[in-house]
Amino acid sequence: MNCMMKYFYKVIFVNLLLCMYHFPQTDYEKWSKAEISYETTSINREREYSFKGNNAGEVVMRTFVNAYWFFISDVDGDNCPFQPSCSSFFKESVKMTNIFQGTLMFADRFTRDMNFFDRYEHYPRHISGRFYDPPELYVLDKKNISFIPPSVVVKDE
Amino acid sequence: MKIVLLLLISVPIILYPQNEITIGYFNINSPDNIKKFANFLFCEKDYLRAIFEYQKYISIVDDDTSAFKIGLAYSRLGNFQKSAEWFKTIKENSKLRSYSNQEYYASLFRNKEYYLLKKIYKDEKPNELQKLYYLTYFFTNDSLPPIIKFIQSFADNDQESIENFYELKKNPAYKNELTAILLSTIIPGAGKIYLKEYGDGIIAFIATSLFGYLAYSNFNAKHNFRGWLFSGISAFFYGGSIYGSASATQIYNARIDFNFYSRLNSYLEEKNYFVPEYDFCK
Repeated sequence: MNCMMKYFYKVIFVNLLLCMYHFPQTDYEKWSKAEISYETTSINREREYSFKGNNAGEVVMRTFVNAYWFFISDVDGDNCPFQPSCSSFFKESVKMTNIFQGTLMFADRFTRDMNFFDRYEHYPRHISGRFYDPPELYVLDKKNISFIPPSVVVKDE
Repeated sequence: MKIVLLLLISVPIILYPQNEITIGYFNINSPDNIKKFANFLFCEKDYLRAIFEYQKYISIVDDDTSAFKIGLAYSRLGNFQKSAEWFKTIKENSKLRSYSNQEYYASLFRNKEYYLLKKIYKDEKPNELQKLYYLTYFFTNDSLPPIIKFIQSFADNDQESIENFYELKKNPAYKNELTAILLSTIIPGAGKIYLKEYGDGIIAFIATSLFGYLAYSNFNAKHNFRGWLFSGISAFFYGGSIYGSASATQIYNARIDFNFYSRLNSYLEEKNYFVPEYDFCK
């Protein structure tokens, strides 16, 4: 009987060895050094510094925006708390409407930008952490207004 | 001890080996077992797989309960078009017919087919549809029927909530765009204060009046260039304040609508769209 038990233990031992051999831990990646990039994406790289426009108003607006980007924003850094930034808002507003209405939309945005109070209760957050405030809401077209509550985090524009 | 252990392992192996007889006994593809498995998946809320199994069962056995459960499963997955199609397949003489009718109307309602529901109600006047028929008025721009007629189809404990929603739909707390524009024209930023955006209103007032004052003092001091420059900036903020009041009114009103529909939808979800709930998993 003793001999049989020894044989039995050997079988179990061999089985264990086989299991270890066949199913080793393969998730080494889990424990290896992670390659994480800590570089922040710069909005300057996404900017389109062109003067092309569909009309004279758009060309004038682009001149102002490009000058602001080149001489101030690129040097000062990405400081606007909104998504899209005020200059991009101006650019998109003029593109969506006209130079006159776009300027009024920008003036309103600029005023709201100066208000430091109640932003968290007023605007939803963009995934980038900025306050989401797209120009579509301000073109005075009720059909374009889709209200987003401030508790929502917007992933894409 | 070792012998006992060895026996404990070897005896069940000898006594309960898997053979063709046992496989035959537990025929997993028998209609009964398919149904049991489908019911298990349904109760586990694994609706997609439950639908697949129920469809397999229905292809063998004609069963209204399974068809009804497929409808329920689709409804719980949010596919209301499919759920409506399945609820419609329940036969006239089935004991589930009345329930399936209610679920069918609820599916159409949740699929936003309000005008189809109105048409069905006007043509056939089914009792099960009465509540949902009146509720469609909350989601369309049609003029509301009289309040007494509206709430009488609901139970006493629901009437108060429905009456509140009726009042909010009839007289929403909208702000007037023209009033906001006029207020901002008279006092910069006043339109925003009317919309309860106090911070924006005060900033607009300060920006406009500060640059206005700078323009005035520069003109007085004969600094015409600076005078015109500050006048331009002041006009920029003044125009922005008037325009912003108009756009902010639209956003304010959109928020009122959003809050109304959020509350209404939560209430209807809580009430299960006035359809009795079935517990097949007791």
